[in-house]
Amino acid sequence: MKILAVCGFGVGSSMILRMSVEKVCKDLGISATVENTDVSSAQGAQVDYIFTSEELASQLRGTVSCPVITIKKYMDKEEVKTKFQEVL
Amino acid sequence: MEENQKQRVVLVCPQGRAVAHMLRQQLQKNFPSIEVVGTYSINQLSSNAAPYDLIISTMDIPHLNNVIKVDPFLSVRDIKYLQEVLRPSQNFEDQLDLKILELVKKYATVHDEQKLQIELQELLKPKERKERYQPMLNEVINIDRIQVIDEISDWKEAIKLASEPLLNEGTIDEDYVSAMIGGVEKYGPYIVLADEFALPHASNQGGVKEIAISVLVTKKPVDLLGQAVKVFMVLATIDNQSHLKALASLTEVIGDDDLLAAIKDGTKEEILKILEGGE
Repeated sequence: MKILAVCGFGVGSSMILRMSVEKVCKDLGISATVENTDVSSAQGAQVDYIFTSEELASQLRGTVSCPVITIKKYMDKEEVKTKFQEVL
Repeated sequence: MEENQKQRVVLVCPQGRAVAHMLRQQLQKNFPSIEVVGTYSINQLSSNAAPYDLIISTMDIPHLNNVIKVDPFLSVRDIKYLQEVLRPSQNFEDQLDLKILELVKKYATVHDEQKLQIELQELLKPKERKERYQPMLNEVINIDRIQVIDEISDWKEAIKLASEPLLNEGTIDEDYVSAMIGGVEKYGPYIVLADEFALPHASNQGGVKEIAISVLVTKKPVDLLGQAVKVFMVLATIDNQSHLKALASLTEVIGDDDLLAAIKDGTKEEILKILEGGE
């Protein structure tokens, strides 16, 4: 499974989101490759899931075919877990 | 296995979009033995690239050596050259990850083949692509970079004040501060990563001398586009990877409710101690 964690710059927040997603995947026993990137590179990405913020999700949804999961607090593993489970 | 045998190619063009898209179609038609694993602009390449064997680019990329430069519309010469290079059997080093993987599988039970292969590729990357030194959290923070105040007028002022120690010591420049503020205005308040905790940062387009973190704690929370924030931690980065270790330690600290609460209430010395403990 391929997952992208996305923020505006692709450097800091998305790296933290990636760590949260990786931990949640481990908890859920999901084998996934998680990468972090910026919003413009994520457009049109062919992956299984994208995690990002509400504001950036609208820039991505039209361009990708996979579910775009919005996270309010990137460091909140519980939020990531709950929202991920909703779409799994 | 069939997939793994294909040569993984990333495409690079000025924008990472139209030209790369065109290239992708031409390449896939002419070279079934390759798999295009991504298309990037030159700036995106270092951070995003999926594991790859070869870069095909319409521009020169001087700092990498496994690059083939082509015209946006492949010329006859380009195609000939690519046919030479893209022959199925590659040199020893390109396939080393797969060879090791086969060996490991022969003698041991592999629990996650995909991950193992990715890690092997990371390990065996050509030297040019090896990451720079990754400092620990305690190497990027010090007492002079921490400020504790009672209150501040708004989030922009908070980011400016939080940046001041790094500005004064010359680690970041004014442009980086503007970029951090611009990022919030452009992309929204997602830099609020945890309760009352924000990590202002921008991308590493110059302006940053070395990886650094500075901290501003305001006892009275300030509004950041609808989110209350007490802790502003400015993150200055030089590339897309080198701050990984420091950031991983930081998430351990900030992810701990008790420690985060202690930072919000702490003195400069106490905050430093908490952050240095997070290794």
